[in-house]
Amino acid sequence: MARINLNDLDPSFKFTVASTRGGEGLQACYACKACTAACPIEKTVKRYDPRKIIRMALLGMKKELLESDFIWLCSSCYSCSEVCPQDVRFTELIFAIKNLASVEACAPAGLMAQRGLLKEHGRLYEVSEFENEKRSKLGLPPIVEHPEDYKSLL
Amino acid sequence: MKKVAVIGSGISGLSLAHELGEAGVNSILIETLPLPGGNTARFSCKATDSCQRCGACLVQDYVSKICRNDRVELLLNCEILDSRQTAKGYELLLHKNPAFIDHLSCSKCGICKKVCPAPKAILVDPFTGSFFINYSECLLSQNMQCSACEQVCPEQAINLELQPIDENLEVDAVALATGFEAFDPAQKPRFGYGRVPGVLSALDLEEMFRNGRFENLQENDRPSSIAFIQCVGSRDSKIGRNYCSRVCCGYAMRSARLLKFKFPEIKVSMFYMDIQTFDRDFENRIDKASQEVNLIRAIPSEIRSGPSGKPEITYYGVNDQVIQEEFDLVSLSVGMGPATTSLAGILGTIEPRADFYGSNSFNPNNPAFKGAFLTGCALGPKTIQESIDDSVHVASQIEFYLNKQQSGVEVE
Ligand SMILES: Cc1cc2nc3c(=O)[nH]c(=O)nc-3n(C[C@H](O)[C@H](O)[C@H](O)COP(=O)(O)OP(=O)(O)OC[C@H]3O[C@@H](n4cnc5c(N)ncnc54)[C@H](O)[C@@H]3O)c2cc1C
Ligand code: SF4
Ligand code: SF4
Repeated sequence: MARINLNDLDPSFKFTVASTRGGEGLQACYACKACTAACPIEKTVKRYDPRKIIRMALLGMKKELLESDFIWLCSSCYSCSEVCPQDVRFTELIFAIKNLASVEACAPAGLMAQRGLLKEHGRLYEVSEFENEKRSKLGLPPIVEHPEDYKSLL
Repeated sequence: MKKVAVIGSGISGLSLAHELGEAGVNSILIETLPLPGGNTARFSCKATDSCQRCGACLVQDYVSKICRNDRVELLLNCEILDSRQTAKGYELLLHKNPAFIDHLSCSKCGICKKVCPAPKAILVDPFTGSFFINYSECLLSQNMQCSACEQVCPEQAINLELQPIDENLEVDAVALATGFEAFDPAQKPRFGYGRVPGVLSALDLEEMFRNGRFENLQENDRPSSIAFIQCVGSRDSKIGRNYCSRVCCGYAMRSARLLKFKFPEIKVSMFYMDIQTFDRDFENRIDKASQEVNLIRAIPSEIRSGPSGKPEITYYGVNDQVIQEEFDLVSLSVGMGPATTSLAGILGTIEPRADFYGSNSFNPNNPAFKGAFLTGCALGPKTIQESIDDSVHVASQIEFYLNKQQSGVEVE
């Protein structure tokens, strides 16, 4: 197991997470592991452990957490939230952590590309002339892209 | 003569009435159920080769003390319909259901129970062994005709003609010893209670001990493994119970050691999130217990029927992996919640309750509650001994209050 150097930790990180939307439940965790036992991602990717992610946030392992790849693995199935006795709402919490990570520009390349697509087209798949021609042949109305809302959001 | 109504005959009510009696104050102990003892009446002695100090036997002691005490009148099967604050204290409207079986004539033969068509209508008093009718389960309470028990009783101890009586009672003070209700584990469906065979609540386990279900078992019928799941219905903000029930770690540990004593081969695991040690000897006992019991810091995510039909627990083990393990029995260590029985307005508008009195708006200095006292688990989770200590304290408070009333000095 890797050693943690106390001097490298950021003791205020837990407050940052707890004051980020979705992260409010962080400090209520009892470390009971019910979430990890229920998580389907943990079953295939052992590195992914909701309870450990919470511990890392509480300990202030900001860099390790925000730069890790595993925070992006959550499938948003809410199994963890379902079993948690403390109402930590881990699925929301991991959203908060991912939001913090992307602010620090640590988001994975694939996700950033998706963000670009959303901004440009208002959807994850671009709709071209080709698709709309096909749709009109089938008697379907054309699709008009509305990226404006996404532009203002992102 | 000053008189106090003590409501609830659990260990707190019994010990309060006893203490008042010792101090020369008369009391009326009012209980809705047909037998005294409250929740503790269902518990069993946990002694192994030595006493484990669970306190279950204290209830029996107090019941017999109360029965011998001239200053205490015990009213079983009695509900409070209404209440009114008076200049003197309180006026209560009581609804007394009759005790259909005369305890003095009952020879404890049990013939009535054999002929009764309703399964839970005739019960046995665990302290005295005599029989009593649990009116709410009796067919008569559903306006049906039946007199099966009355006809067979060889002692003619049963009289079903008796009618309920409504009566006014004037008292100088009331003490609420209404206790708690154990958490219903079916409210946490993922633990499988009521669905998965072999999953018990701690109260079911207590009854199994009490009824001798673990005695004289054949080799094959002996349980070879049992799991205790802690904090079921406690420390759970999802269901609005974000508090520790204070007794579950202790009682689960005692049951675990008793099973280990009865069946040395049995494998005992205890799943916890945080063991709470409330008395000074607990740390030692945990050390001792951890040699016999497998203490696992993990709350299971699910309990379901495993491949062989036994309860299968899914949890995240110490070696960082999800483990699915089958046990013969699973005991859910249920916590305590506030009692939800009606108090007929004794505490004004504070009912029905979602919280214990200790932690909400009940303030003994409020004139609206003048002459009302609270003791035991009505205030919050406590052990048997703590409930008795509480009652000793409250008894002296009541005595003080009554003396002040008598001398005409206003009590703040
Ligand atoms: C599973 C379990 C195991 C436990 N094991 C232990 C143990 O080993 N050792 C230990 O020290 N403690 C143990 N406890 C705690 C123990 O049960 C309590 O400390 C004790 O029962 C408290 O007594 P009480 O009189 O305050 O309340 P209760 O026992 O709840 O008694 C309250 C009584 O009041 C009556 N009542 C309620 N409302 C009314 C009303 N409106 N009118 C008339 N009567 C009313 C009820 O019918 C009941 O008889 C355990 C608790 C649980 C849940
Ligand atoms: S289930 Fe809830 S309390 Fe338990 S470890 Fe996970 S987040 Fe913490
Ligand atoms: S929401 Fe994410 S962390 Fe929670 S159980 Fe599902 S995959 Fe695991």
